[in-house]
Amino acid sequence: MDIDIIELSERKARFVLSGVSASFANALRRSTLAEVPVLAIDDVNIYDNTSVLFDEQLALRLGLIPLKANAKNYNYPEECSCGGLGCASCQVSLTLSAEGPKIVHAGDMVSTDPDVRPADSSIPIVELKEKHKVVVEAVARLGTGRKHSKWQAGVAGGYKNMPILIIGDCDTCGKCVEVCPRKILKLEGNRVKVTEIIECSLCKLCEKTCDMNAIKVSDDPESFVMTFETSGNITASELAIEAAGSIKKRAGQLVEILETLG
Amino acid sequence: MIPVRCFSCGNVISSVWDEYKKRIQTEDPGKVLDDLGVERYCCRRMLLTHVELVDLLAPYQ
Amino acid sequence: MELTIVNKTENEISIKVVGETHTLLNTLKTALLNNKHVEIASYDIKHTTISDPILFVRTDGADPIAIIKKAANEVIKECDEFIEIFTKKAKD
Repeated sequence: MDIDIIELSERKARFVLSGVSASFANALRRSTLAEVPVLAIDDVNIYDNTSVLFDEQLALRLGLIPLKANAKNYNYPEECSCGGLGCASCQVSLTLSAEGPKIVHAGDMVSTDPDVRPADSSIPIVELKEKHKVVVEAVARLGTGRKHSKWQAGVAGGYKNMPILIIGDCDTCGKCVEVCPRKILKLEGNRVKVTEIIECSLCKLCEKTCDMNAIKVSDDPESFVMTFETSGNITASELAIEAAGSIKKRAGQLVEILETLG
Repeated sequence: MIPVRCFSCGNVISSVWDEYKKRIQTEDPGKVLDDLGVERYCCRRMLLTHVELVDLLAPYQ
Repeated sequence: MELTIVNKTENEISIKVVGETHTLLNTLKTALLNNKHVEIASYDIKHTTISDPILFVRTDGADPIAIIKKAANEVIKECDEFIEIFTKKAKD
């Protein structure tokens, strides 16, 4: 197994994962989307809402706001020692009270835990006009994307096989250079050169246009270009590690239960 | 109100709404979206096609 | 996670893996098929959202439970390797 990181910022990761099976790459992708736990608002007590939004619309909008927190500090409500009743180690309360006229942003929410805060403070929640008022208390809990997309840690995760482009004998007609939608082919002297092979979308247009059948497009079945983003709840590198950790945990549980079966 | 996340991919797009709304007064919306880092066309249509109804509804509250 | 043995013979086993999805089962299947003692390894999810997967393994006579255990350990090793390499590369 080898990893070659192309891009790694706080919210985006792109790397080439080689020497693994397609099922491992897919498990990793599925895991980033549905198995990594993050915090999201799950319960909303509405004390006053005279805004243009209905209570349930307001609650839905609050739920979708990504919360930045160290998820390791929290337990799942159903696994918590309080038995799911709600305590400081399985839930956080965020309060919001505002009066119009103003636009209420996610950054206006006040959290009881200073480590838990909205990942983007500029998300508009509701626009209040004259005499409009909103007073809510929101309770955030830990969850996974399998239950609801508000707990989805990874966003737009995907992979493709590593493209392989072989250019043989060529009369440098330049048709392939023109036809490539990703603009990755370049005419250099009397040769066609590939500039960024990773950008290739495997559309095979170059292969079809070539009159001499000099271009061969294929893919490596054991090498993948993986891309995923986060919505700010955790960093992209944490997400990759947590996702693999989640698969590991599950496989570990399986071994444990099989031990007891004999 | 602008939806918090993109309907298709789940990326948060509302965080750039205020800035987008201000900048499209003078600039080309496509270029503003590129600049704000809204890459995918699913996210771009969220901002491009949004119609703000708050002002229309407010008198009936 | 919970396991229920649906059927078991000398060289065959089908177990219901309660609460799991393609994420674990598909990796496990690939790991099982890499073992030369395994003749068939597959799983079935009857209904996409409400059913639990049933894993079926047929071996050439070896103990199927031991073989699944070995495959799961290989999955753990692969994840460990990924975490280790990724952490190292992410630092650079």
